[in-house]
Amino acid sequence: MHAAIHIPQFPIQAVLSASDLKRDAPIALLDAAAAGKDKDVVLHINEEASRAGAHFGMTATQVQARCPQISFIHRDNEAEKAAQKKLLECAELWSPDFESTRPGLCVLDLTHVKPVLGQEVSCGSFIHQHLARHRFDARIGFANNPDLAILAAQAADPVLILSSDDDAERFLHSLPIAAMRPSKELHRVLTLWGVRTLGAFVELQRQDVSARLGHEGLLLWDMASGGHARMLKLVRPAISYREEMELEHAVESLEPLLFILRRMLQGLVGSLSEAWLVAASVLITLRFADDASHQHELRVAEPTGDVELLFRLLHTHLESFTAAAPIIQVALELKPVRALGNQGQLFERALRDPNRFAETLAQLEALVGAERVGRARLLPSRKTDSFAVTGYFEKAPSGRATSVPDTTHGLPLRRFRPSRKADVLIVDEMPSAFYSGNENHALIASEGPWLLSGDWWDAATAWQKEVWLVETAEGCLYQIAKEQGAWTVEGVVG
Amino acid sequence: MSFIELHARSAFSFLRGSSSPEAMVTRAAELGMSHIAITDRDGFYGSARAHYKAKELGIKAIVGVELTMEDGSVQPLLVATRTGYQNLCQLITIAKLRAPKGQSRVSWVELEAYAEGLIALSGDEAEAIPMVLHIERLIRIFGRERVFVEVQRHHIRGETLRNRQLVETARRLGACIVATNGPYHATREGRLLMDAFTALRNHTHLDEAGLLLAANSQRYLKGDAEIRRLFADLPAAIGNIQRVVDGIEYSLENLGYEFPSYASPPGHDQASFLREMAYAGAKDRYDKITPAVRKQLDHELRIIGSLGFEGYFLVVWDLVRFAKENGIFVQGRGSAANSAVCYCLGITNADPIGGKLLFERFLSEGRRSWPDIDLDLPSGDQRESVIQELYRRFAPHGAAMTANVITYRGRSAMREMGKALNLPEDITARFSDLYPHGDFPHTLELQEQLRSAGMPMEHPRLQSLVKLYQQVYGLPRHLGQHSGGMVLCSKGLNRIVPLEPASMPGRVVVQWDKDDCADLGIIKVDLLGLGMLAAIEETLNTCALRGHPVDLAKIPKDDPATYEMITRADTVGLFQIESRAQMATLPRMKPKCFYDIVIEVAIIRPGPIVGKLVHPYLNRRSGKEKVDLIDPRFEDVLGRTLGVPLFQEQVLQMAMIIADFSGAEAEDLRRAMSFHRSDERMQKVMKKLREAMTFKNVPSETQESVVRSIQSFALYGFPESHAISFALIAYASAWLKVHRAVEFYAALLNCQPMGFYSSATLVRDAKLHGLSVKPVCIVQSSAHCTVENDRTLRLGLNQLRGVNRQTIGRILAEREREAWRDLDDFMLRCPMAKDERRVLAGSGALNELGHHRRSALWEVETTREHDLFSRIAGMRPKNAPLAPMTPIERLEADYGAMELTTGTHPMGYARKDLPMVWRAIDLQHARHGLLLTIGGQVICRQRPGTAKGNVFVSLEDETGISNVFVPSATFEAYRLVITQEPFLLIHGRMQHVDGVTSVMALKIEALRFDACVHAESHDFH
Repeated sequence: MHAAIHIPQFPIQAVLSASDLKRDAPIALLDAAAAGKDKDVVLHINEEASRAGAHFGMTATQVQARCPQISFIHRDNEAEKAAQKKLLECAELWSPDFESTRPGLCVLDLTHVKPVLGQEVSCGSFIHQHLARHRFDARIGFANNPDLAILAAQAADPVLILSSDDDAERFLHSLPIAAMRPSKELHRVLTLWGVRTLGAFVELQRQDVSARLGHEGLLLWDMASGGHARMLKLVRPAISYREEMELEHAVESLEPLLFILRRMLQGLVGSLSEAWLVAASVLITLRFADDASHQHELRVAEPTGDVELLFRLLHTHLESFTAAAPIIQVALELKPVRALGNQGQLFERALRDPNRFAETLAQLEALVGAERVGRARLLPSRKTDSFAVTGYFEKAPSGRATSVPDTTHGLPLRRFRPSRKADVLIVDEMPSAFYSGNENHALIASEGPWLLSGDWWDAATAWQKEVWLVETAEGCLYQIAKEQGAWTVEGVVG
Repeated sequence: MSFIELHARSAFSFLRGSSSPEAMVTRAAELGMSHIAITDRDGFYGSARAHYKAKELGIKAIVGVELTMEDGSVQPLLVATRTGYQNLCQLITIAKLRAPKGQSRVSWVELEAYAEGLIALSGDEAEAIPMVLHIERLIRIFGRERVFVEVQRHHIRGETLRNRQLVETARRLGACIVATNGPYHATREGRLLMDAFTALRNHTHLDEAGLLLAANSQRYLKGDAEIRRLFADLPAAIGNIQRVVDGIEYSLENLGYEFPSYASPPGHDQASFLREMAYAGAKDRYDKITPAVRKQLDHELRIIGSLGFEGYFLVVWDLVRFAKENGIFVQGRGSAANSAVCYCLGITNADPIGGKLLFERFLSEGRRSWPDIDLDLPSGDQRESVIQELYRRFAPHGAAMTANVITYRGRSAMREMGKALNLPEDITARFSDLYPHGDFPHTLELQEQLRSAGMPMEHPRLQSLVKLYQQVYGLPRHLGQHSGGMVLCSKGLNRIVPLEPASMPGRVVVQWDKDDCADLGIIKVDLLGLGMLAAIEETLNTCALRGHPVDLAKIPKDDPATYEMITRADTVGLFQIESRAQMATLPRMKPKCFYDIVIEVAIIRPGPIVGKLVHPYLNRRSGKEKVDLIDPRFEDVLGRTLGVPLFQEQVLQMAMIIADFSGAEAEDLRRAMSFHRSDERMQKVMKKLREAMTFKNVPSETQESVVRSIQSFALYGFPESHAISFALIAYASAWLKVHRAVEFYAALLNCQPMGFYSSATLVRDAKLHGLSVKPVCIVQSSAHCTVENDRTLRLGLNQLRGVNRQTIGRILAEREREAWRDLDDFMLRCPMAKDERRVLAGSGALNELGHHRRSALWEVETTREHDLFSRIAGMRPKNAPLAPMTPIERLEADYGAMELTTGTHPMGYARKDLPMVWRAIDLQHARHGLLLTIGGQVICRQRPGTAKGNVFVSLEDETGISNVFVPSATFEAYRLVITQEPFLLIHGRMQHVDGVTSVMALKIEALRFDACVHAESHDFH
């Protein structure tokens, strides 16, 4: 016996499972690529939208014409991946032997799962309820072979069991061709032929179908005539280098925790080295007595199999960490990668000791936060101090040249950080004195204004600025600027 | 002297400037500049407009250009002399013609060769150090007197040093410095659009464009005070501008254009030859050359001679002769039809003497511009052969098409600006879907339109989008080629205006559009393709082949059956009088003679509609209103249109009679009335008219009436001669529809796309007229639709969508060689793509080979190969297991293969489920004011600019067409249903007005139709 779990209109359900949109309102999912079109067209609609007359292939506007209250959503690959994961997790609850047939569909081999046999209805209901808890409306079909189970799942509401050949034959006879998901071209040919059901399809001679529709036609014909046993492409979990430990006695201080971590690390690194692998990062997860948890990934500058090094990283991180409750569970996971095969630089490596550098970074991150450690990258903008931080181990995004053209010559500018507030006296449209801090400066010369503005297209980020270079009576050169009506001294030149 | 901008760029630099040349010039005039130089990138695209606008505002536009050089640098140049202008034209032409469309690169060697008469500016793009080398090179090429070093100040850090270096370089090399601001836009606000253009030019959006965008908004046109303040320390930079201006003696006023002369035969000059040809033609045209004819011909020949236009007439005559000799239908239209000389030369077919047409509308002694002679030709290959003949005759560089400036309009503006602002594509796509052919008058605010397209009103970029949309609307986007306007020149067109390649192979275009050419006195011959001429030509050929030839010149002009059909508004497929508005007028107009058709063609035009002249005319015609001639002196002029001036000629004649306007003054009036002229110009002429009338003691009420009549359609004047030319074709098409229906419908189907209605509607109309339309058949059909007998036409293989020309050719050649024995034989001898086989089988084209559509579809899925047994008939078992198609399936297959059906109309199948829905044919019996429901396939949606947002929809069912009037508010309430749904159910109120039936829509809903039926509809054109 096989079971197929099918989530109809999978892309829509995947998006809806992660959103607050009402399911009983008409919804259409738009996608261009999947429909083979240049612009977005409807790929899926829910029942409400279908009742209003919307159908596959319409443009958003055409759907809107028929159903003004329609909500449009776009296909979301991440949501689909997450939904598929949930589906497979559900399958795994019933059998270790299951196939991830396609997005929104999996087939389980229940041959060796004795408790299910004869209890298909309750099993199907349980699966349906389980997925409903994750906001999926699933259909479950049971049959003697995988293909038939898939077809049964397509027509189930929510569970359909085809236990005998007669059942199967009756069921297949009236099933629409679309249930087999033929390719677009084949579907078109069958429509032209007036073949709309599987019953009509199997009435055609197998060899005639083969001569006209080729291999795909033959596969579909076999499926339509009841399918046959085939091997499932079983999903096998990837080997994970993870160890988890429920602590009998909650740990309240660093020392015992480090002891546990060292032991876990030794085991995990040993397993890694057996597979000729090294660790690229360490993921530590701590669960506390108050149900809170802490998770942090520590990246290694150069993948390593050195237990001491990995341990030091963990140590550094945990030293600055405090929690409100004792630790009741510890988990450690190493990200496996192949050891580096290249030699690097001939005489010197880019970093004298990359892993020590990584340790230092970990210390810095512990102090100031991870998002504030990395390489500063100038953004392509004339806005002063416009930059972003890229992690040291992240690849810098490729883009257009980001450096401001060098329009400054001569003396360097020493910036005040932060810029100092100032009051500026303007005479004849030029600064003649400024007062900043407790100092009052009379100006004997000024150059400017240099006018800068940008991001005007976005009301939230638009900015403009006026910059002057001024010389005080004492002979100092300052750069002053006016932004949003306020003057600041940005720095001293020279 | 006050400051003059010498380096301004307009939107004709295409994505490198964000103000129109007119806006730049207007702003320059506002700022008190006496001159402004527009230096667009690689062309004089905007020079003509700048010149004209400057002339209007009393300032001077200096001609200039920015050339893209071989090393990618940009060299601004100003034209000093006519030689310089010609040099630049040639240089740009060389660079453009050798590069792919849209590109051009000039080498430094070439620039040196064409440097005479030009002034070089140092430019504002290069860095300071290469600039020094650049200036040295310019001095080598142009000499230090003709090189000016530009200094600019935009409040950008670093420019002080750069300018210091430039001033120093200029001093060292002995060149002068000049101050420019190098503006990209007329005002500060233009920076927004300029940034958006910069992003688009670099194939990115504003968020990513970063440093490519402007640092600030200083690149606008600045006035004298502002520039003087900026360059207070460099007064010489402003003073030297005068030196540049002093060196410029050229303006576009003096283009040096000459129309080609005609090589007269020995013993003749052009004048004598034209006279001889005109009189020779007159003998054919008129039975007898009466004194009136002679007087008119002599008058016209004298004026033509005094203006030196003999060559022009002879060249056009020669072209018409070429067309006729090659069996190509040709007919002149436009104001040329006012000329008896044109009529006698065979250029036009309307007799201007018999029709009392005003020659001065075409040509007068005071006329400064060339007259228009437009030639209508059958669209397609025949028109192309005439165009190519012109290229050949005037090669090299003597002929070119005029350009067509494609501007940013509703949908393109929204799409491009949305792209620049990095907005989701589906918003702009939905905007386009919501506002199809976005140029009809909008009854919604732009923000409201955006909201309905899915743009949140609180979006932080909404205001920027609205601003950008408004700024870009109407600016040039790219240059296309005009549909038929050709300019000719005797001494190399490439010295008059730069030429560049068109996208279409074998075509060359000039950088100006037809209005620019006309403004600058460049003569244009319009070779317009008319689908109807091609259809008429084909009809006549078929008639001749079938043994009952028709001579168009001899068809009776008073055929009652033809007028009866036109009066019934049974005009689907006819020229000009088939539109919804025309159909609505015909039953009121009740045309009884040819001149009524002329009026009918002219009256449904924006001019008379906007001027509210339609109803007065129709009311007077039906006796509901008294005829008022305004002044008894207008009897001759306005009598034939019952006192309502419908034509430009009438307006000009009125002015000549009541205000003693001369031919030249009348010409001024005509130009003031033409489309793109300003109100100011119109007011000026009106003032003159009033003064002249007052001088002649015309009563003030009459004066008011005259002025009101003229102003009422000033924007859209329509010459009577043009209407006559069109009416000739309209009448001919009507006569053919009545008397040679089968040939006419076959030709109409072959010449699609053309006209107002799709093939599906034409086929249904043919059937309503009692013709039998047979489906496409692999045994019987030719490539084109053919006539089988007086009542039957056969659709051709050309009606099948998805079967290519080569395949059709192969099928016909094989069938010619030997008739098909069966389907196997056909498939063996005509291998083709599977999709093509499916189209043939699905459309029923293979039925005659012993199959029904389904069995044919079954058979065509297998491949046939030549082997020992393949030629033996009956070797393959015929066991198609598929049931024949049902009627609905056949309908679907017909629309899938041809977008039409020869069988029952889709509404015929839906009828049984719609018992309450009225059929089109029954509407005439419904009482006025009755609430009813109609339904059908939408074949036309119209929202004319003159209709204040109201929409006209035509629904087709199995019995005919029902017309629906949708008030503007109802349209907005059901906008999406109306624009998106192929079938509609409309609940409304019946209206019968003057014999015209229509339904005023109250509620509109989609009519869901199970079968997938798609046919083209004529929407919002």
